[in-house]
Amino acid sequence: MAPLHDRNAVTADRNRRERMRHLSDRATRLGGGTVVTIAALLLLIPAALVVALSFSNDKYFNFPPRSWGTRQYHTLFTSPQWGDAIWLSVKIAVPAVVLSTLIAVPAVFAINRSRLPLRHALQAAGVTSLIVPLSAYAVAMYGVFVQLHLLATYLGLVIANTVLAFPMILVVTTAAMSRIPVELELAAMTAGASRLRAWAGITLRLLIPAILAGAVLAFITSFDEAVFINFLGGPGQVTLPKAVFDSVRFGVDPVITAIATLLMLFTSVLMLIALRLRRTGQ
Amino acid sequence: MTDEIALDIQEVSKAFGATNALERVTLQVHRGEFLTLLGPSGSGKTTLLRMIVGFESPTAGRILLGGRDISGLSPADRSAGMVFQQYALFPHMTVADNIAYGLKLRRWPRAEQRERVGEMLDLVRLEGYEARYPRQLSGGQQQRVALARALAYDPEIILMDEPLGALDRALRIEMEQVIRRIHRDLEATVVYVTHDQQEALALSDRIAIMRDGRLQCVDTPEELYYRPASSFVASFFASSNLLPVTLVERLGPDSARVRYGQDELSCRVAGEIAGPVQLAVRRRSLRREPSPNCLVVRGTVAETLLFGDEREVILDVPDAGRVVALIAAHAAADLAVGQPVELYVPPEETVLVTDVDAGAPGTAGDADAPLQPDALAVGP
Amino acid sequence: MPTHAQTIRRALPSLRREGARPWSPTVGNVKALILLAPLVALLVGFVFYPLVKLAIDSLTSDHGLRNYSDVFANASTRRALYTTLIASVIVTAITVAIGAMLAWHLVTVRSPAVRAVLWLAVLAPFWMGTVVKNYAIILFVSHDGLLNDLLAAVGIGRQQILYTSGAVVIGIVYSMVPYAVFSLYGVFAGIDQSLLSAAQSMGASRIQALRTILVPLAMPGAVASAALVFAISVGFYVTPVLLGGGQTPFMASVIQANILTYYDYGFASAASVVLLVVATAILGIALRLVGRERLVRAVA
Ligand SMILES: Nc1ncnc2c1ncn2[C@@H]1O[C@H](COP(=O)(O)OP(=O)(O)O)[C@@H](O)[C@H]1O
Ligand SMILES: [Mg+2]
Repeated sequence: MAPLHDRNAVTADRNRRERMRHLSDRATRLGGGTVVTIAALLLLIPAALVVALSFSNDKYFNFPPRSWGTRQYHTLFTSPQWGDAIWLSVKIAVPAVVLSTLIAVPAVFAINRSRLPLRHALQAAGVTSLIVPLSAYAVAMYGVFVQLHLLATYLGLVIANTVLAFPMILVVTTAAMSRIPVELELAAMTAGASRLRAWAGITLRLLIPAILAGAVLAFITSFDEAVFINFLGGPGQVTLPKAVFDSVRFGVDPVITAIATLLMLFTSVLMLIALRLRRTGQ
Repeated sequence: MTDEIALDIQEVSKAFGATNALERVTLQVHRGEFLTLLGPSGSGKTTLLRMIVGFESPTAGRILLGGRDISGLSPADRSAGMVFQQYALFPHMTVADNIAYGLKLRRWPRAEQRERVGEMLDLVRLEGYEARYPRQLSGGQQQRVALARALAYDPEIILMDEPLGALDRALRIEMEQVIRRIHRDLEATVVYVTHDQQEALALSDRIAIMRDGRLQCVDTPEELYYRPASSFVASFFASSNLLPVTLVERLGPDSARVRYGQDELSCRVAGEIAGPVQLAVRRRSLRREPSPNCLVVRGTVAETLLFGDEREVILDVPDAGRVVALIAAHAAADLAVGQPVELYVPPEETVLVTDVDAGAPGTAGDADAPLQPDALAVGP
Repeated sequence: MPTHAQTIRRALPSLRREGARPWSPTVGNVKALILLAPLVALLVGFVFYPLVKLAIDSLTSDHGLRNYSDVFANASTRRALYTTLIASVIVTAITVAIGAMLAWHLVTVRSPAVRAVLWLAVLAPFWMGTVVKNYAIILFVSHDGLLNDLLAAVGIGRQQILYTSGAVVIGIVYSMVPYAVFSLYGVFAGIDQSLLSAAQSMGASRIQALRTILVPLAMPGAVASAALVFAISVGFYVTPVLLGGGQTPFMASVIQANILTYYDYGFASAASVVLLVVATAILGIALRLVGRERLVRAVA
């Protein structure tokens, strides 16, 4: 047993360290909270700014706006140029998504249900187009498109968008497939189903929400594509991102705020649908 | 049960790369028989079952179902029904659709399908649950649906892989009754996999004991329990103690004289004797009162645990390591930890065993048993 | 009570011949290849072939090897490369730091309202789309935009931010933070939080617990995430062009000017190969450090 005065000193020392630790913990939490709050604000403000400014009634860009109203939306809906751009974007995105699905879904089955050598390497290779520096990749595609006479063609743009969009379906469907027990297929086969029937009736059926979620993400990817279109689209093919890009590049047309707001709404709704679909798939 | 052989497994081996999951397994299952594959985890039970149903193909050997070689057949063509540990019910189908799945594939007329689903739900006591989805059922109910689904199309053989493994104790016992009744009523041929010897005892006509990919022995629960053929069967199946003894002489095909310490006694022999011998003593054979010619086990109490009516007494016995006894609680009330004690075993309840399968003595289950080199020399 | 005597055993529609080839539970390689054919065709035709062709063209087309000496000899291109790499390093550092803090808070925060706001903040740039994001940053940092109003209000005074490399860094960070949060969220969510409580119960302060437990556990995921952010940042096109303007030198602007204005494909391909080599080297190092599994998971 230590002498009394020693014990007091030990206790005092421990108390002091406790206090220091509490102070340090509070500082840590406070510091972390502050940084996160500022980061969140900086992420939110530009988006909020766009939405707010879309309700400016000024003909030219002013900050803060002099008057408020729905002028930008009126301008947007009465000018044909934006409608054409949206239509072209849809016309490219829809086939790109369909092709992406037809490419990705069979591949996911082959990768997960065969013993083919290199199948996992192939799966990893599937996301290459998401990680290569896009402007360099665009030049590479430019070279091939010149060679194949695909430059500035509709078909070329569908292919280019498919390349960027299919990894979404590949990734989402692969993740979903790993959550479906293979025993379901086996149960179906013992009950008398052929492999194809077990795939189609059980696994594919259960994958549908994930495939749809992936398709929505693929659609967003294609609908938003703004790099390849600049390199491969030529002057004639103006998609919505290209139109916005050109407009922003050569001045700040306040109509863009209205387009941006609607686009944000559209994308967020699609993404929430995709999220909901992925949840139901689980 | 009939004499007709439903399932004939001939010299089946399976290798996964370098690991031999199964080695030359030969086993026959009779029509209407309930056969359990029992063995510790990793002993190859699931692999064998998956080969019967077609989810794995054997590296060597043949499997005949109803007399025909099934190796070229897809699972669909094998006429088997499978029940999985994790139920594997189709989550997007109702209970009725799950059960009718095999019937639809066999193009049964709708009315007959409905009737059959009704019969099956009666059988597993789930009347009125037709329209539910699997996620709306408890684990026990889901497993009963899985059972009904596997039985509905009347397969030649039902395979179950630890079907009660995911259920809690009370449900397990209830499900054991359901399974037993169904087996009796339908006269179905069942191959059942478990690592739980209680379950195996409760359900089986015969039990096949597996260890490290090899079939150790196949016999009725009584034989395995009272007359184990090897030290592994004795310790794994009946949780018997294994005492190191010396073989004195063989008295005949099924008895022998052995020496344990200073005592000599006669014991039974059930299997083949080769190499070091041990005496298998079940936990309930250790008594506090002596009987004529009994074996005396001396040790000190290491631990006691009350199990209700019985008390588990763990003894430290020189030479034999730990010996576990189950003694009526009132008879063991005076035993305290550290106290020296003598327990008595009627000789007719002991069985002489050897570790038939393990290559070297002193491996796996009998790590505590000392070497008995002189036992090797004594022949019958 | 049904008995099996009542049941008519019906033959299955398809009964295969006995003694045929052993049935395998996995789909055969030929069938697997057929299923993979579209993917392989697309990958070979429009991912690998273009990249290989790019490398070959950069060495053979127009001026041959001189494409590369042109790239490195040209002072403004050298400066563009330098700016791009430095900016990408800065972007990576900021993005991973902010992304990690946001992701960690998203994993640990208890209040559903705060979590919802944080998710909204992370998703907002994502929802805006590539071009609009940059437009929003233009509005935010422009000469009489909100940021300059703030700077003026606190006495720093208005700065020219738009059309500088600073604006480009802000723009890329704004675009990349959501991606970093997504991949780091997965990393943090996979870490058992009770480890931190355990460390703190043994007397570690919060910051010590974070440093000694969380950081080492999260490091491989963070490295994977950083490598991806860097590789993607190097190739950013829209942001350097819109926020950097004509004057700020970035490789993306140089490449696009050479290909779309001067039609110098040889030069553009050589410059692209330089970017690809840098990005591949960084990804390769990350691959060696943390393995393919983590890297792929960081993408998805
Ligand atoms: N698909 C597989 N690949 C590699 N090894 C396997 C595979 N399936 C089983 N094994 C191995 O085979 C042995 C037997 O496994 P299993 O049949 O599952 O045992 P049990 O069902 O008795 O627990 C184990 O060692 C296991 O690791
Ligand atoms: Mg098993």
